Amino acid sequence: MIYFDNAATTMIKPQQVYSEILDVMLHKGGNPGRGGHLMADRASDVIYKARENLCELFNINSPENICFTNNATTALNYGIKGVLKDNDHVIISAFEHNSVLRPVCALEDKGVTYTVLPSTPEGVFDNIENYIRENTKLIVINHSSNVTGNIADIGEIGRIARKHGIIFMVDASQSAGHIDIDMERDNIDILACAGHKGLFGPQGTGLLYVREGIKLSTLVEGGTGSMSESIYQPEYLPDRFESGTLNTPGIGGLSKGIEFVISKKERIRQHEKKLTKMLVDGLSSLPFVTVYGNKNPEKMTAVVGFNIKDRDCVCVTNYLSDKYKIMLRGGLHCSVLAHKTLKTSDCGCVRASLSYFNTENEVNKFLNIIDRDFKM
Amino acid sequence: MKYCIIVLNSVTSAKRIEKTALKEGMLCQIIHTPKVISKFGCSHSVRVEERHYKRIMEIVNNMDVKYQGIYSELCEKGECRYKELRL
Repeated sequence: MIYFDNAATTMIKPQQVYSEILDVMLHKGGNPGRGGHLMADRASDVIYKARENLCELFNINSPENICFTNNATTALNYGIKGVLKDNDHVIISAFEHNSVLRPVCALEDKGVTYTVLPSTPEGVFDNIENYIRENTKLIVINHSSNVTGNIADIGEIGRIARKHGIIFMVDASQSAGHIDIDMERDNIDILACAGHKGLFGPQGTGLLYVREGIKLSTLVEGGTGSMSESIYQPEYLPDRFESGTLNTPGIGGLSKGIEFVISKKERIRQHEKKLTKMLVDGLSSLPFVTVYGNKNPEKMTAVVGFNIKDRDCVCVTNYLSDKYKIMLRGGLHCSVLAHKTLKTSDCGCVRASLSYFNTENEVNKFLNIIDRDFKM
Repeated sequence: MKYCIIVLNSVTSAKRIEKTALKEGMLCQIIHTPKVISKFGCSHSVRVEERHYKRIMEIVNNMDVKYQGIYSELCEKGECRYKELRL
């Protein structure tokens, strides 16, 4: 089997992720923050360690400002719907996933308006300052496209957002664990990301970071193990966004995944760049293949969108799965905006997304099959 | 032995203080706050020996962590008495 669907979820994790999940279930399986017995305390330790690891990875000052969620979509909803109120305006990029576009559109009946920041297919955005309005409250940018791998210049956009006093939110679902993110350097106010992709946690993990001083309204209220006499949701983080029992085994696994990323940060990036270059160069050399995006491994993560002439993208992925057990994803990848920008809304595309655990041999084998089986 | 109890809003803040205190060699424990001193219902507290009171409060204040109250604790045969401490 060749697994090239890491943008959906990294299926192969570092060994310590699997071990930790089991260890937490067997030996630290109390409910974190509920009660004070030994097992509850051990579970709280697991959660806290994960917060500390995230602080190190993303240069976050306070572990309290990290809230665990079920996935990136939940975190994005908390951020978007927590910030935007009646008649606010939001700017989103031309590469946003539906997990940003749909929550934004769901607020239209409250008078919230949005502008899509135009981009070339290569990921060069228009000057965002031209799209800022008096009531622009939020800018949401997909750090790395889940269709092309294009990396957005969040440092520059963050600087502009800060200059105008606009809250800057980053969707790091495809970038966290793959490329460097620094909350302070990049002026990020809110960050949402998945735990089960580049951070190598299990599915069912995600996170929301909220900068101190930014107050978000809640979408979900309930028991937090704190302030129980109050009938209202706590104002402070992380409790405000962590109602209900957390996924302690999952977060434990995520924590080990983050430690793996921290220990191999530069190696991960270098390895993925090398594989991406092989893949982009190999596919681009085939006259019957069209590769989308900027195609420069320095400016993209290991996600390559492409099409084969006169072939339905989903049929291609079905064929490769059935015949060779090569796992890719075809279709629109829940990114209607990205496909509009790439002018591929009608056809979608095939996506190959790599991880640290893929090899040069796998890329070569894949390229040989594409060349042999689809040559015109 | 007398202990000092700092009642905190969240278990995350309690863990943060505990980790720092342990690094400094203070014996420190997180407890589920006894009902009698928990002002708003369930919460978690950090418990340290009272001789560390000054240092633990420096840690709390340096971290800018919000707390609900500070108490001294004296326990005998499972029966504990609390007295609020003022900074």
